[in-house]
Amino acid sequence: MPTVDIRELRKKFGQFEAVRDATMSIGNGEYVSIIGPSGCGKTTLLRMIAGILRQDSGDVRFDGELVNDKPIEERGVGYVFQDIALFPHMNIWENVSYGPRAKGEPIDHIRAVTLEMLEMMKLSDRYRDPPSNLSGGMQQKAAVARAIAHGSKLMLLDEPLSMLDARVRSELRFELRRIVKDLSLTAIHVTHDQEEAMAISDRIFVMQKGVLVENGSPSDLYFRPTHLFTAYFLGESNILAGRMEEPGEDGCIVRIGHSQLRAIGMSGAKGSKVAIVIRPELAEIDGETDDNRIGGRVRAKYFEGSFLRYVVEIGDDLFLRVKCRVDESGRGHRVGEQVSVSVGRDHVRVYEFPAGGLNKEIRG
Amino acid sequence: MLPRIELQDVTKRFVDVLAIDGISAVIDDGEYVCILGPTGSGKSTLLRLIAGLANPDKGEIKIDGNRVNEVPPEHRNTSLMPQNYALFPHMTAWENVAYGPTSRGVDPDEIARRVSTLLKTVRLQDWAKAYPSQLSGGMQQRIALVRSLASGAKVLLLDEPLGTLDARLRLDLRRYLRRFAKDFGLTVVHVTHDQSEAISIADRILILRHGRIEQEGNPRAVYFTPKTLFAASFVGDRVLLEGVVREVRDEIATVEVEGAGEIRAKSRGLREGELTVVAIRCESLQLADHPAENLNRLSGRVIEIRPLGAYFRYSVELQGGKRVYSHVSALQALSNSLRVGSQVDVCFAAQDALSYKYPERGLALEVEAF
Repeated sequence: MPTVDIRELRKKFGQFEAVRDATMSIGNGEYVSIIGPSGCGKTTLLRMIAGILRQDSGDVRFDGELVNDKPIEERGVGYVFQDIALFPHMNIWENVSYGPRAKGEPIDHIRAVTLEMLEMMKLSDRYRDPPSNLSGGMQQKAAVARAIAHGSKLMLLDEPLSMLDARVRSELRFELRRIVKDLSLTAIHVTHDQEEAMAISDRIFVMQKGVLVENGSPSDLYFRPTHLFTAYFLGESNILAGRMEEPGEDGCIVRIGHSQLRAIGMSGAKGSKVAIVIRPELAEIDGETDDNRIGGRVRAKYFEGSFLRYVVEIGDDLFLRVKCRVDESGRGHRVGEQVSVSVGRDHVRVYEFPAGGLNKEIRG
Repeated sequence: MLPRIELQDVTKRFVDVLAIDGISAVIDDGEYVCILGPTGSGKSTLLRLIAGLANPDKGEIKIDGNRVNEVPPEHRNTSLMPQNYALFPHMTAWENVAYGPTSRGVDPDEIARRVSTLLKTVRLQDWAKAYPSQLSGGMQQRIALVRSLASGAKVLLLDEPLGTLDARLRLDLRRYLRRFAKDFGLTVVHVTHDQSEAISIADRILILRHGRIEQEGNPRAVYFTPKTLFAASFVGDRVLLEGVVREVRDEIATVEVEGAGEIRAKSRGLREGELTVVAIRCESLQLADHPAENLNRLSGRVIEIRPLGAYFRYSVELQGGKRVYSHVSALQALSNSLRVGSQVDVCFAAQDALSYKYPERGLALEVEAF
């Protein structure tokens, strides 16, 4: 259960700055994830922490000890890859027990550790199978078991679930978290899947173009993101251009199209252009709040399982997506219907308008 | 409207595995169909049979009313985007996308218009001159996607088209894919293991399992009334409770769930004394302080709360030790006062609980829990 301290890590590939001044402190037993779009530098960062890749500058410390000059095999980390990397010619038992065997641990210890891992992963009855007999989910669990059996207290996971079926993926998330917590490991988990990050981590680091833009608990980042990019990347957001009408630290009034909205967030100068973020699931059609009511017309409606998604036109070429719960009988609002969208003041968040425009800021 | 693709008793065997086991299905002109199933269910094989990359051992495949069993892939008026697509490495993004229409002799102006529109829709207009090696994996996938759309075939066959993309981009592209297909009047067969993708995108879903169609229907039907326990466990997030049917009246079964108490559920043909598995959607489980009178109620304790974005997942340990998961919408979760350790009643309507006959080979194997 080591702590991990990273100070101003940098890595360039040719002219391309893959990671810029990455600094992070991870506590004992913490489950942390690093999220960002492909190419943002998150895997490069993880590889530098693991010792697979050497940074150009900056320091990596485990439990306060500088490990810059140690190769991966001396850092005592367990690394789990996106592609399941079990030894195909070994059965599950041999795979999981590989680390302690290679280190020449006593037989009793090898047996105890391997058994414990297999039980924890619910793979006990498959120990004689070759990897190819197991489903993808089981194989990846065996790979995690092998990494833990190796004796490492720090798990580095690089997109460990992304090759698996969606169904398996969504179940394995919670299992991974449970295992890491039960064994008091520290974990750093890289993923592009924001829902996975929310489900699995104590804390999320958001990365964009080589830079760690912010970090926080899943709730904080989701409901109170400091950066516009976080609002875009984590979950779904309506991001609209508007104007600041009345700034204020404890609440402000902004304008989108013909609507005036009570909002919170950064206090820009009166009349300045701002970006306004509203989560589709925090807005309602004919909801209870009186903070904001925006008239509009339903332009489209999509069934998405547990949610209905409405696209409501609230002005000229201005659309608001609203996600509502559905039940089997309720068909909801019709396309073309005039409705009133309500949003609490706390759920209308205002950000400085990005200098390069909205699209450039959020999509790169 | 004429059916575009007809499958009659199509069967395909690989050595000792029956990959496709007598499938009959019709896909209409302009329809967007998702074939949904776990790894190994035969869904990619089915797609390859339609494309002509494999031949059925038995049965007939018709496209536009004509038998195509003996017709090579390039003459089937279909365009397949395989899961492991390969871009031409020596061609730019633009040239890759333009390749299909160019080799079919489409008018250059039309090609230019089409390619530029397609690149714009996947936000790669600025990368038109880049070679595949200069693009990230996600970008390459997007180019491969629009390349298969550019050829102009009216039947599009997509094998996990969004599979390797960033989760964020995957969501955006779902809506785009469907709109694109509808705007161009395409017939689409889209293979996926992701039930939420299938629900958001399809006109109709075929659930495939062990090479057979487990259920077919529109997204609502598949989501709300799964016909089998497997379909119930595969589509949507559901809690499964094992129990014994104690009584059946007016198609409502009273089921005793060991340790947790009695609940009422739709009986769906089950009789008194039978073992059953009751499936309830996680978002139908309410954690209400004052539940309506006629709801089922099981008491328990909150053991974990995870915010997952649009909803929060509350893990509740029921009396008797069974864990259930309630998905509470974010707005509700932000306003309730439940904490880890809170005593809580888990409530749900009998109409939202579906009884299935207890599977002969056991629950874990049946729902392919891993």
